[in-house]
Amino acid sequence: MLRLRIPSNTRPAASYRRRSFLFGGLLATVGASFAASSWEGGEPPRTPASVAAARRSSLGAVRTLRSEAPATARLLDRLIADAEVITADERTAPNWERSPGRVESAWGRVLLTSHQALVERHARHKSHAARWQGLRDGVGADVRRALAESNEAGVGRREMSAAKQAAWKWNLAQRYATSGALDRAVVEAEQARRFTQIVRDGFVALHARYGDARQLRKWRELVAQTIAHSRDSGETVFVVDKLKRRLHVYAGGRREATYAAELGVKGLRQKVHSGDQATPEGRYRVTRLRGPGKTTYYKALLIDYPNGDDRARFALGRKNGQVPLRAGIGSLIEIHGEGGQGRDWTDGCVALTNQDMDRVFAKARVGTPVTIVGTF
Amino acid sequence: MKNRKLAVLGLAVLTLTVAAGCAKPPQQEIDALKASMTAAEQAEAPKYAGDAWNGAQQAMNAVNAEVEAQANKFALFRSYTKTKELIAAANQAADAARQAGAAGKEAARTAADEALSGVRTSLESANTTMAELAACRRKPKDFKKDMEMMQATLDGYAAQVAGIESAIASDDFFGARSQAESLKSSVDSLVSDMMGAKEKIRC
Repeated sequence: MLRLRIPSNTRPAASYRRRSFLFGGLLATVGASFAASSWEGGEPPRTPASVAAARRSSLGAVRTLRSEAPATARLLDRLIADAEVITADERTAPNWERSPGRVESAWGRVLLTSHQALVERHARHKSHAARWQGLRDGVGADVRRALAESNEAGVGRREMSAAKQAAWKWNLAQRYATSGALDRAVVEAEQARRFTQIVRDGFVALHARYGDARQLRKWRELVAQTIAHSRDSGETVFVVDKLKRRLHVYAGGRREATYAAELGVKGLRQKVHSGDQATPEGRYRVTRLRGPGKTTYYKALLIDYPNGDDRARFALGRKNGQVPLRAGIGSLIEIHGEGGQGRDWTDGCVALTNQDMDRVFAKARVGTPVTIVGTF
Repeated sequence: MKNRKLAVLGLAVLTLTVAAGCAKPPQQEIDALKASMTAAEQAEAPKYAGDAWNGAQQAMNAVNAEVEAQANKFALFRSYTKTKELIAAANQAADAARQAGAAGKEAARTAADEALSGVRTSLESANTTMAELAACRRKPKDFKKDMEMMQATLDGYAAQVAGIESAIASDDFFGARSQAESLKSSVDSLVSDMMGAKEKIRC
């Protein structure tokens, strides 16, 4: 049997060498991993340029959204904070612990959220702009109409106040629109429109009786009777159309002249009591002619208001609680001069220009029939 | 003998490692910074001091990033000196944001209150002028209608004060101020109309 003999003096101390190699290897591995994990001396791995751009863009989005969409801005704050931590983590983690695409994914989430928020903001602005465009002309016209209608005889104080509030709200809306706050402008414009609707409702309610067939028939009958009386007796009669603001002069049943007239401040309403500034409706007669110096309104024809119908209406109003306790039925309703002001301004009388009053006054006698109706 | 030396050396390295590895994030300071940020947010810094709040937010992000960077290092090489510097800077930014937020809110509230009191003054002046007009001896024929119109206008304007008050109560200072300024100009214009009417009728 062949036996290989190794000289004892050349044989290494096997266990010692093995330990040395192991220890050396371990030190080398640990050293290498220290060097890899705690790289301090050279340039640290750079943050990609795309991250810097994403950071810039998302911070800009946050600034934009902060006042308009604070909740979204807060969400973006949180996402940016997460993305910054992930970026720092990936930049400094040892190679084997890095996850490719993690930074991009974190900033991608930030960018996507900010993009969506900006798109929503843009859509909101667009919708407000469209809404504003739609409201601008319409509400402007509504407000102008409300202001005009609030001047209509018979429109109440509530409507007048609503018209003024509509005008104010409309001014405010325009002010907001000029400063770019279209969302607020839309809200104010819509409020202005609601106020104009109050005026509109009041105006329509006021005019409702002028479209009522029964009422119209009654007024037409009154006018027909008056004209028939003029035809039969050959007498001159006066017919006042409240809605059209006209005073017609009939002689022998034929219309001789028509003059523009002005009414009481609430002239389109039916007069019920004193101080209501409404112009009465019914068949009356001239009871007194007041020439210059005997009236403050140039010349005047006093009529016999209240007649029997007026008294009955007053009594009913009092019974129903529609007449104030201290109010009487009223008197001193006239056809007088000093008109031509282009609005209804009297306390219930019918006003003509002085020139027209001269002509009417010349045809009037005590007892001349005067019929005042809503319209006919 | 050699084995004993090696064991002693190993033990020394281990002790050093454990001692150096004890560097921990300054959690107390970080918690204090978070509390400062919350205080700034509660002071409505995002709404009234947007730039200062953004600055504080970015400083906070820098702190978090630095903490993360240090956490990734081998324990022996961790150092939180820079983190502490960043925390100090972020604390300053958060305090500044809190103060700016509180100051901004106060300024907005003061401006809205001042605008509202301006409206009230104008309305008082309008009421006084209205009373003077009503007490006037000379009353032209269209006076009643004009008075009624002016009173209705004044009523309409006075009714808007409640809206402004409610905007202030709900912290909508910017809206309240805009409304109040617009209302004041309307009321002032009405007062000037009334003064004109007073002069016209020699009241």
